[in-house]
Amino acid sequence: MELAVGLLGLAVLLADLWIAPASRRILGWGAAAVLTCVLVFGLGSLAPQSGMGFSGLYVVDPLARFFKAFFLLSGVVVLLMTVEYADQLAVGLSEFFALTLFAVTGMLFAASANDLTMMFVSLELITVTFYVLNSFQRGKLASIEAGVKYLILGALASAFMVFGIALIFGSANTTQFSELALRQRELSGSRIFLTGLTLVLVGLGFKIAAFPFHGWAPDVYQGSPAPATALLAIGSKAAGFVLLLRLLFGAVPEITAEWHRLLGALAVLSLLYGSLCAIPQRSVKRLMGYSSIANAGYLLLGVAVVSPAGSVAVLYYLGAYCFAVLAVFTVLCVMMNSSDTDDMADFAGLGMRSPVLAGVMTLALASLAGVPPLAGFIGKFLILRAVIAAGATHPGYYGLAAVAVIGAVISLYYYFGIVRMMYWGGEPLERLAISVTPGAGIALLLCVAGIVYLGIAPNGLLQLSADAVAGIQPAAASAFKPTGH
Amino acid sequence: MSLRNLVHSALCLAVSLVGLALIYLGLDAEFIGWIQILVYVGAVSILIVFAILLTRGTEAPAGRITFAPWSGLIIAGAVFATLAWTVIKSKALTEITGNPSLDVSFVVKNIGGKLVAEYVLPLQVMGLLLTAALIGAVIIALHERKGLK
Repeated sequence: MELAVGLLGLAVLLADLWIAPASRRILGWGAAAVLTCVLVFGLGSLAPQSGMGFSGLYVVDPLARFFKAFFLLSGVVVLLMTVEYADQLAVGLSEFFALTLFAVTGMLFAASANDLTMMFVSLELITVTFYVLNSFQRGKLASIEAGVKYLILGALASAFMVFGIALIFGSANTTQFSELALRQRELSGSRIFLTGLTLVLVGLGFKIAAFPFHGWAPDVYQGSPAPATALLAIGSKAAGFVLLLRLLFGAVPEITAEWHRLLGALAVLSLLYGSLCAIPQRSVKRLMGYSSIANAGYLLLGVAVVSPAGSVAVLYYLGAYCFAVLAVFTVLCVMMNSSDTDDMADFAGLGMRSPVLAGVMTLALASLAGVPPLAGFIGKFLILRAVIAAGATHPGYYGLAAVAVIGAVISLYYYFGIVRMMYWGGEPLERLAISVTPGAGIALLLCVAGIVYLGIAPNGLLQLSADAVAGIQPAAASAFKPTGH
Repeated sequence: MSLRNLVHSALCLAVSLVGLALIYLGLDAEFIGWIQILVYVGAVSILIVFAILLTRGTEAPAGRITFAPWSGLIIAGAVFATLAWTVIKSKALTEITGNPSLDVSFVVKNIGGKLVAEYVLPLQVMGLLLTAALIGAVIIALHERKGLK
């Protein structure tokens, strides 16, 4: 499946040679269509079996399948979004498509990585493509700034991760998750191993934009082209989380159980920092950057409870988050076609200007804020439930739950700041209705359907998430429940 | 920073890379030592020199470059002291040498075998990564030219 997507990327590059510059958008359509086929047929053919390949480096299990579907879906929507955004990109539209596809390939590999080497290589594939995607609008200072910041901090995070991997290999003499899992008891005494693990977590923390490693998020989100930001917000974060889940629960569950305080602290800090800093933001993309930090906090909360219920909640939350964020950025793309900025003032009167866009935006923001009966509510609810359930064994979790609720209330405020601007923000600057192209229309329809469907009928995805988690955290995972120490 | 000419600086970098390669060779890491010479000393530094020559970086900048040997010396001394202190104090050194399972002779043949057998998938992904990076570099450079002219 990765092969198909990678080849598709190369095919797009080749096809570029024969297609007139004016009609390059068609490549985006084609790529999106093929990606959809890969999603449908690839997953269909992959469905029953699970197993390892390439001497254990590569694993196909329900978790991998869950995330592969996730990445392919977001890839399709991002490609459609790029078609919409094409006017903003001066040159290299087809390269943008190709790089997007390469990034998606990296994410697909990450979903199946069962080895530190594989993990690092796939993460690098994602990161290196994003270095380029972020600085794609060379004409804009902000985009270059985004690219440079991401490059320097990304390189730093990669260095941390490589150093960590080297230490882990030095102490364990293996890089495979499954072999680490067998030897974790003896390794947990080794200080070198623990240092290495911490450094790898630092690298992953950068990917998911969790609190102490979040510095790049707002600037990069603001400066990058909107489709790249969307892919960064969803794909990069989810890739970080799938690896985090695999590493923490697949390879070293016992150490993870000991580290739940650290994870909980990171979660709370990200949550509060992201929520509080989002309040005064005027740029919608920047706001999404801070909200992404806050969301990383929620997701880490699900990891920190160290229970299958928590991991299921993480997966579900990611699903809900994906649709909502994609919807927000698609609306942004459409908006930026006419105004070129993402300042909140541009949203003034959108409710009158084009009620459909405003409606979609409201729906997506409400889902992000966790308003029932939308998808985001179920995600937050599941996480809170897992945290409170864990509180029975360790009272500290009640505190985490309280912080999560506070964060949700704050997020309600800043998300609805945009909504208020759209409907009661005064007269729009121009009365012209914004036209929505079919591509963006399909993307928006997909997102809205996802948000509403997941909110009203959560069982399907819930079952999928549960299956996915069962692979790495079997029911016996209760043995790894945190015990106060 | 003490050299005004960028080309000289690049050549000095090559010399220091040779030094690093010699350290590797001294540590019995033959493969990485020779690779260091072939790739870094041979290719990368030549590439840097070419890049300098092709762009207009050859003429030395007119203004005075900040030349602060003392701060440099202090930093270098601090780094050396930290490294020396850790190396001397380190228990890890004995820990690892005492570990018999690490006693594998990493000869070039082994590395080659591992690369195309066990680690073939990461190798392929690296190939894709380099492709993506190359395309990206070209794209960004192209943008610049179009922006200027």
